[in-house]
Amino acid sequence: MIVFDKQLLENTFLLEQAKRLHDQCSISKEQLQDIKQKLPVLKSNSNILIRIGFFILGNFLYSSISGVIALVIMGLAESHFWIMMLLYTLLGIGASEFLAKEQLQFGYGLDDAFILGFQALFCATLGIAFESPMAAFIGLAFIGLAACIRYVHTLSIILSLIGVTGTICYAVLELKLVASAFLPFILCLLAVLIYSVYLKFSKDKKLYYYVNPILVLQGFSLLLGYFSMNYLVVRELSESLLGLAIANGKDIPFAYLFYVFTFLIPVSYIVYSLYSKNRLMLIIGLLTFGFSIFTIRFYYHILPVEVALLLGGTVLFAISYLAIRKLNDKETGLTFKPVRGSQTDMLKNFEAIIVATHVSLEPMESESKMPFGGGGFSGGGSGGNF
Amino acid sequence: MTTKPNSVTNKLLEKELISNSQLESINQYEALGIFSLHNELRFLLYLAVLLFTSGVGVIIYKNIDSIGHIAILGLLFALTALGFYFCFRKAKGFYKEEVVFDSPVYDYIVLLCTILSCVFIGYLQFQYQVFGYGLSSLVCSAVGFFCAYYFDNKSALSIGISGLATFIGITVTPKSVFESEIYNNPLLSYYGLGLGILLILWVEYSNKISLKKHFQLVLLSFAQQLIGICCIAGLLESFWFIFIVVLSATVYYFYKISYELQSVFLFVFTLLYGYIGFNIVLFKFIDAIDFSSFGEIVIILAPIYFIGSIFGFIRIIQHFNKEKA
Repeated sequence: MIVFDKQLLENTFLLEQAKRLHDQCSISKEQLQDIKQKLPVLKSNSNILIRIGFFILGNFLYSSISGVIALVIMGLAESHFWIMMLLYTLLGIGASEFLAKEQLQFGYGLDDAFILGFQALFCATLGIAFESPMAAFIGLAFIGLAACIRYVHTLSIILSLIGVTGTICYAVLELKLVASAFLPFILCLLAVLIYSVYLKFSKDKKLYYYVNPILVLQGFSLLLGYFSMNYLVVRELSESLLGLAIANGKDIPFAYLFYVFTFLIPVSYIVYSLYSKNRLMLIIGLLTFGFSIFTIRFYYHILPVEVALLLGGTVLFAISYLAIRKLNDKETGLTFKPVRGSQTDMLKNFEAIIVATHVSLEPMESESKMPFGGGGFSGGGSGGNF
Repeated sequence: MTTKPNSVTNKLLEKELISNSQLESINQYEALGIFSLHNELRFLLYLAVLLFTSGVGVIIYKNIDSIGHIAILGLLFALTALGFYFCFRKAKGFYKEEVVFDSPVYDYIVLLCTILSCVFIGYLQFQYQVFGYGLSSLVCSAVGFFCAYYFDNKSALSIGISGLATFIGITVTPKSVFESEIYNNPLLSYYGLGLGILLILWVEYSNKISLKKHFQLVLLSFAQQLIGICCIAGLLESFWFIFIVVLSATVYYFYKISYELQSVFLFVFTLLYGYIGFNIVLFKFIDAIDFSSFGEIVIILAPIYFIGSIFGFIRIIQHFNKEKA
């Protein structure tokens, strides 16, 4: 099923783990060097910049090869455009196989260009051949999954999930399989389904190579679950997609349910993530909680903005302060101690750069009544963040 | 992530790449089940400070006429003074090396007080014109630098530097880089260059007397942005050839220093500014010679040049990474 040589793939993951252990100061630098020499691994670029660079190059390569082929088979383009697209798809699959098998590339950049490229083209082939977005979505769902399994490719699973979600949305909105008002609940059900798949796979030790795609599954299901039940998203989308006109004093169907879930979901994410020690869920919980506050303020101006900011800041400060005091002395479990090998210095530098954008020190002259030395209005936007 | 990799660690043992005792200590560490909220809580504190100060800014802006000036000033002063009182009590005093508060909460109180004092100074200037024109930002900057060096606070340092830049009339923020505010006023690029070079000299001097060495990354990145923007603005002006020399010198300097500090951030911006500058000069060169006879060649060469540049970037970054490892 997997295109790569099993041994090499395993070595790649072993080396990753060794690097992690080195960051944790569990093994010495010499030992890491030794491991690096002993284990032959697949070629991959851990540096994101290099990977993006190769990705762009790969796109050039793919499109120039396609261009040359187009010169030869120009005649097809007029009558059977989809055959041309299919040829390009096959070309992409061939190139991906070659890069993975012969060149041993795994997350190298070039291979990403071809793997993602052939999926997009396959999707286009189906769309053109059947003249239906439905076919394209279904195709994307399957080919994304297949590519993810065969090439252990993390980004493909996102495409596959988008395909699945798109199929369902299209079936409900255009084909009217069920009443459109139920779409949020169906999507929420889908999120639960994806999450249960995540739970099942994450326990399986044999699937260790797929640790990143499985993480994506989790993240996607959490986000889908939240946004399918978020009041703002549901209301705006039902206005624009369903043409639902909401009169004054009226509300969307099941409005109270959405209000409750808009806050219940983030809070339960945060609480459960602290209980189960799940960082991704915690971060998503915090972000979605911020979005929930934005949601409410979008429709109801309960407090004037300055009071909301002051109050929010004070409450947030108090919560964090109490949490730090409580966790400060703990050595196990939940703690405030930085993890071994994590970089807190990065955060400080990042904060220093952000604060310069937030605070404007321009001298005020009477005609321009804008910011006051500090706390310029740019900061008002961050109110939505928390 | 703490529970899953166990099987992988075991495989490392099977291949005799790690020893039994190492595995045991790793397992012991993982058995602690450490889930650190260090970064998350720090970031929340930081966010709280930003929210709070924004709130103060908005309140003052909205109520400028309704509440008495003295009341606002008095309240601000009291709040700031109270904050500083706590910070001074907990501070360990001035040291040349890195010092940290016992609780990181105080880092953020320092930041809060620094921003509030800037608001205070700005308000004083707005209402009573206490300081001469532009001097208020200089005073803010002084407060920022004092807090930075006394309490060891990088965010205050960044406020101090942007105060200086504001004093000469430039806003150095990542935002303004993209909005290219500087291009309106050519004279600014000379001032900016001066400030940038001053910052670099300060870093070199601080290193020599080993004063707060961990500040150099922040100082250098501000210097880099200042010089970079000013040089590119300068390249579009009439005396552009001077800026070629200055830009090449800075690119060389930052290339060296980013290897020395192993800082990806500095390195990437060095490449970026160097590449932009090079392209501007190249374009001027093509523009200078008669375009009509070379037009076709330029069009044919452009994609090759583009692909070549990406390839060049990849090679340079790969080299940098190899040195880093």
